[in-house]
Amino acid sequence: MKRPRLLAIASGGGHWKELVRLAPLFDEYETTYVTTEPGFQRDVPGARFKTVTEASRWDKLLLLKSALEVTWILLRERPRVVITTGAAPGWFALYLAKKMGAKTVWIDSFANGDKLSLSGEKAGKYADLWLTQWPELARPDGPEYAGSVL
Amino acid sequence: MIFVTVGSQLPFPRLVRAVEAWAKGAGRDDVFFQVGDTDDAPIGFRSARGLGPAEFEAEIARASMVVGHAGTGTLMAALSAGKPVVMLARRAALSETRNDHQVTTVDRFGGRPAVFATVDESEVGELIEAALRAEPHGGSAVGNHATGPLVDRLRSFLNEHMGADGARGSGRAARGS
Repeated sequence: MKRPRLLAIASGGGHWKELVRLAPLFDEYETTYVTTEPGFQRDVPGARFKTVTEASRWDKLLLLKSALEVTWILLRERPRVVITTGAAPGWFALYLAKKMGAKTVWIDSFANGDKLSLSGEKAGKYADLWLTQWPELARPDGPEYAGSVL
Repeated sequence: MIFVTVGSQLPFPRLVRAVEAWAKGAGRDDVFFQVGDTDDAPIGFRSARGLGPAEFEAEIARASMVVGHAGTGTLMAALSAGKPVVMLARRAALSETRNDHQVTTVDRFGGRPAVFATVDESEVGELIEAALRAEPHGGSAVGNHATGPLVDRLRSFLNEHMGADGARGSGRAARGS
């Protein structure tokens, strides 16, 4: 019997550090962590951990490579829920997971205090739970504000 | 020791120059610069282009203060280690980043305990001085983990969708491992 899997994904740097602040919650589930820097495994000791290529929407070739890696991981892990704090690889994971029938959560980085990130804006359409970390950015039809990772 | 970091992506010479000028004026040579992917590191100081996560944490632990770009990774790393942090925002107009989100970070977090933040490189030196004068930050200002309503909201979402039936599996393909 397999327990359902949670996939928590974020780019290296601030996005990942925000995600890791939620690790005690994720660790209550069977969670696979995905980021772009192998060294970050130390932030989630003992957890299932994978890496993909870092990519931004400014480099199409890297973006494609990263997207293929994310696709492969989703096909292997078959998560029931995907949670991301961004950026590009997280956005793609959310989009694809939604298409595959998983539930999806976008947490826009608290670095975005004046307006949502571009991917955060696009994520609204594919996120079952669409969150901003700033009350000023909450709107009646989403995103929702429910506090921040800090 | 003062740890200067520009983050993992682009160099940030405006910050590096400002701290270098302050350090020379103040006669401090115990400053370690992480400068990003550039040959342009200050002479007479320890420096590195990039640091792995373990080295980064070690430098933060060793430092009495962190000086960095206004990135959220830098901010969280410093605060959760209980270190005061001086931050200079990258500006889109100077091609230091793609948009001015770091300016917002400075607006929102500047002036919080142990956070000294500006958009103006000419203020970096005096902010370092202010951070040096500030009371030791002591323990961890933010802890290592989130608490509060966001965690509650996510937990209720996960309970709903990962919940009891899921715990026994529901016919999803097993990973072949």
